[in-house]
Amino acid sequence: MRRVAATSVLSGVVASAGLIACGETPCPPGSARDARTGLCTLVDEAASSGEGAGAGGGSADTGGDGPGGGDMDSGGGGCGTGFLSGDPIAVLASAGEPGGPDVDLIEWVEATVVGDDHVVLSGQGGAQLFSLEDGLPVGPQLTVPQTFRSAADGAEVVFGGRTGSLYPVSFADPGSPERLDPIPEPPNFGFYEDIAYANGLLLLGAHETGGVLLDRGGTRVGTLPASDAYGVGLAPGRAVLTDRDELVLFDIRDPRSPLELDRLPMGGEGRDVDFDGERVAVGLGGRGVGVWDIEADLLVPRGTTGLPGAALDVSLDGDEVWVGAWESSALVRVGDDGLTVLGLEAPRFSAMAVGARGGRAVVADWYGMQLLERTRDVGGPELSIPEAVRFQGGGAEVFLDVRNWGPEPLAVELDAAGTGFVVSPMELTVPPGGWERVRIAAPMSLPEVPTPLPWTSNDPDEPSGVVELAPADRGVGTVHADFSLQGLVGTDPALRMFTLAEQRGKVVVLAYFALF
Amino acid sequence: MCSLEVPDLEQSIRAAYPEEDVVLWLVNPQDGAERTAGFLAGAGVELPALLDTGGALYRSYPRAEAQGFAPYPVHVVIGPDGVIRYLAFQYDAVALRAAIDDLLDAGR
Repeated sequence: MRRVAATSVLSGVVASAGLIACGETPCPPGSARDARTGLCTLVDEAASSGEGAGAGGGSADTGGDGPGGGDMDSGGGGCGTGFLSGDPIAVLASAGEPGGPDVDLIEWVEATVVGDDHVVLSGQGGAQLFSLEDGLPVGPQLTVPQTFRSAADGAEVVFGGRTGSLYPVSFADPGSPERLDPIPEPPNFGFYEDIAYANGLLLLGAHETGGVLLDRGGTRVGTLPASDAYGVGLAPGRAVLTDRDELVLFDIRDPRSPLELDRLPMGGEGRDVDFDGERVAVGLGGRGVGVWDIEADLLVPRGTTGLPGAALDVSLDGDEVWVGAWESSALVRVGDDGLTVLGLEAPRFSAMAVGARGGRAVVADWYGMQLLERTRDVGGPELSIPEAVRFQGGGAEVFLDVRNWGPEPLAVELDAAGTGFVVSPMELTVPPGGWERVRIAAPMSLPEVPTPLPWTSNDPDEPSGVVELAPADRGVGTVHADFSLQGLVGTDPALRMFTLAEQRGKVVVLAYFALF
Repeated sequence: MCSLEVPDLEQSIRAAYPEEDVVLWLVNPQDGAERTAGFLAGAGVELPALLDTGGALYRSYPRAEAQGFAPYPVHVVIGPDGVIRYLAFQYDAVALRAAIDDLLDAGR
């Protein structure tokens, strides 16, 4: 019943400049790079004349005391603020068109590599194996009660959903997956956020309970102490977890008495971990992604970098890391000079998660999936332009921001002829890493339906396209009806009353959410 | 909006603006007090969460004409004058911040 469109649209490859060298971002005035963590830390003036000010011991490296310009949060042992290369990502296949008559509208949120050839996507009660070879689904779509997180141990994948039982599925025969008996949740440990699975051991990142180690039968065999555990990773004899903004390495050769080996600040709170025993990648949410290596049972920072969106899912692939960051799927290289963003690919919906192996990645793209391939390093302009801009609140003008993530200048032409809109400028050149703003003024009466504004560019991947100039939603520009609702604040169980009218004079943001 | 996005919202919006200028309220049109409290505690979220029991407030907005994301807006930005300035049917932190920035700039 499910319609899957798989297309092969290898994008053109340009021979051009290679990667731009990347220098270390200077620390802001009054701070210095800590030699151990790679993060910029505030320097105590009195103490700095003596021994180093780094929190992790050892002398602080003050090499980066340039005249500002650095970003406190972007440290991490190397550069990592730039988007330095062209576009080495090709979209090999995509699946799951929305709105079709016979489409399963699954909201895919999680991706896990199974073996070397497959990735299983899961979300909203369903799981489906996809091939890394051609992006096509393999075997039937399974109904699984909990699919928020998954982890694989060989061909067996365990699915879970923050609370309740865990649901193992064997993909030993990929065409005929076999649901195994659920693993009951051990009592009294609350929500968990992440699952790791290796050598018959399970590890759950369970906030204040810490890292909960379970055997395959669900019996709790050990606990990794943490004040707020979130992301977890397992390898033979070793485990890592994120404890709020710290990364912690454990020796778990005896899971009943885990031994903390090392602990380092990450410069952001961990949201997801991938760990292969020698290297740890951590999704740091709005702070991007960071990578640490394990050397002599110590964590050694390899760098962090920001990304468009929020990095909530990471997948190690050799010397590279793929990141699902909602607004982008990112390919990041781990080099001697820190992390470098090699390329970004826009999802069609939202890049919730990614599973990568052998230079290919399957993206859990909310209502769809993408199979991405890492091509060779190429330089060139890399266009980022919105698909639509919306006139808000009856306003007569709107701004369109055009960005260039590539190392070569980007040229864009907008064709406003016949649209009735006044577009200025119509031709623009955006420098590498920069952006330009286009002003769009509406005609006397704003059309009720979106008007397409065609563009062309010198980005080889995106030579042409359309921005929709959309009218404001109904509702915008009208006074919000007053309301009074009961509500909670944080962990305080007391219900309070919230009234919109009492907030007059402030900007009020309402964010609707529901629990799955 | 799925619950995954709440901790990010706390970081990208709450931490970015002073509380005397910008009020950020979560609204849950589906789950009761106990489930919502459990989520806030579990996720370590300190934001106010309003209980729109039955979803009446949620359904008071116009539906999206183009389906594909939530049928009703997940983010609503209301200006200091009480006028709705932004409705979004999917999570777009950049657009959300831009809407807030526009209102704050206009007030200066």
